[in-house]
Amino acid sequence: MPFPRLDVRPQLWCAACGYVFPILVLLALFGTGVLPAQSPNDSAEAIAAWYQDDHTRKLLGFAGGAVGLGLLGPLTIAITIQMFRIEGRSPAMALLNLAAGTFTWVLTIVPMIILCATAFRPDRNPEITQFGHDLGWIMFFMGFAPFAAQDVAIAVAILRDRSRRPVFPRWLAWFNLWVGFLFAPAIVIPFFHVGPFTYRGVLAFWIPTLIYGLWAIVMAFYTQRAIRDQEREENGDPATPTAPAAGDRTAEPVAA
Amino acid sequence: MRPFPIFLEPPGGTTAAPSGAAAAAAQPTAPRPRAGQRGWVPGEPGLWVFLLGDMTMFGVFFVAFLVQRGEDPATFAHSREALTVAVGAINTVVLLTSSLLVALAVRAHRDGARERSRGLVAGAAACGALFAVIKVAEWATKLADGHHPDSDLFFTYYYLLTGVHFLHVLIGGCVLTFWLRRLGRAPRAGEERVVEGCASYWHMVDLLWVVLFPVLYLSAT
Amino acid sequence: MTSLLRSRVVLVWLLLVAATVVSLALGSSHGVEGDAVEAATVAVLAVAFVKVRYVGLEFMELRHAAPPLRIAFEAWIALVGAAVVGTYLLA
Repeated sequence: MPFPRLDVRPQLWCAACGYVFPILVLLALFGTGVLPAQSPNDSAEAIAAWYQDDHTRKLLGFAGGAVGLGLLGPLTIAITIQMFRIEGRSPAMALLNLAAGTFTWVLTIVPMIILCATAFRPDRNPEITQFGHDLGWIMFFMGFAPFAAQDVAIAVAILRDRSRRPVFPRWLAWFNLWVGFLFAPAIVIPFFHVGPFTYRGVLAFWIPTLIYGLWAIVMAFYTQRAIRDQEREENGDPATPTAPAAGDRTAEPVAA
Repeated sequence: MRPFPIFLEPPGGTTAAPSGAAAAAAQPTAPRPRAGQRGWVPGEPGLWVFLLGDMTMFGVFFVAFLVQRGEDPATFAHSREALTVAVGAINTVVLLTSSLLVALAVRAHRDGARERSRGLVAGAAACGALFAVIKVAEWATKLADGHHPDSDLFFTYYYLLTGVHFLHVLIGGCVLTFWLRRLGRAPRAGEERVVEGCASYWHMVDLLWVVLFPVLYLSAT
Repeated sequence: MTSLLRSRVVLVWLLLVAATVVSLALGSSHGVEGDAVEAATVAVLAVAFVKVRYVGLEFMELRHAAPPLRIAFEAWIALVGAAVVGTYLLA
């Protein structure tokens, strides 16, 4: 039974979100001055005063961040579908990627909502405002724990891709493992009020944040390349005479 | 009824077999250079993205520690005195020895001496286990002396840096175990690359400690 | 040939262990005062990065590896070494 010609455009759009959301989110959060976050070492009064000052702009930052983060999920979907092409009938890593990526999606948007609620009523008891501030930022950065699982899933799948034409380049597996490691310091955020491991510190905030944006852009690029490979493979592309026939992705690997 | 969702099947349906003729006609990828040949990379090139990246992360940690030290030299100098330098030095020698055994194991593997290679890797794993035991004992004594991760910033860094390194040692233990099990099975194509990769990771664990030891234990004021 | 290579690796190990002992002696605060303390620590840190170089070139066999990899490794040593020693002295 012939299959209809494959239309990969929705996949491409999903992957393209990986280019867009880091820029949107960073613009929203840094542009409005919401990041870097006010220090956990500040007093409740200082935090409350910060929320009272120009609070509409800060609300815009959090709301904009939440909206921008809405585009985080589609990238995971595109990566998942390409990982299905690697794993075929035992798509453990692809589904782990899906679950972990979705969880990261949730755990980044919910804190933005919490911070919106924190900024919503700046004249309340400062201690409550400080709690909302701490809750939002600690959740935002510690929420990257499932992202580390996502990185491992992608790495394992890529390293186990033994086909003649791998879906993703092998070095991307090692890149993902490295990115996952870089997020390890985020785990210690709740232990620090000063220094580089706080939710505004260089090791637990700056590096993971910037690297996450880089990860998204790199994965968007290589996922789109994989999607186009899939399109060529399934629709048959006469321009690539040495391309393996459809179904040949399961061919034996060449000896090292 | 389809047994699997449509996108899990190979294109052309489940009854289509991979096209043998097309597979044979496809260009084979060039084999990677081996040790001693031009352009050789131990393990595989992508692995070094990870290794050098990991080393860079530690580099940032080292600098962060020293910056923090500069902001409170008195506390850092005082707390550093509480560390037992000899223990750190012993651990350095233990890891250096394990690296030697790993390097010898790789050479033995290239010589075809599989059993000897296995013994050397087992020896390296034993050294790794010894390092871990010494480290845990060191932490236990420091904790018993009242030096907790939140005692002061020096000890925060001490437990954090040695802890992250310890995590790498544990992963290294898994890597060495994987290597040992691989050696227990029949030789396969591409094995030398895997062996080199495992060895490179372990050497990285060693060299990170080689820097960590003087930075943490020996940086006097 | 292989036994020669094997003994080279053992020789490197001996030198690394010796360097560790020397660093231990230099780094212990007994009998070293004032500016000499700083000089001793800089020496200890520099020796550490030299040791790293030997672990890389001899144990990891980067001496025989593709030049870009070796260069990247040496660059790490130079940059991180400079950053560590510099931060120690200047922070």
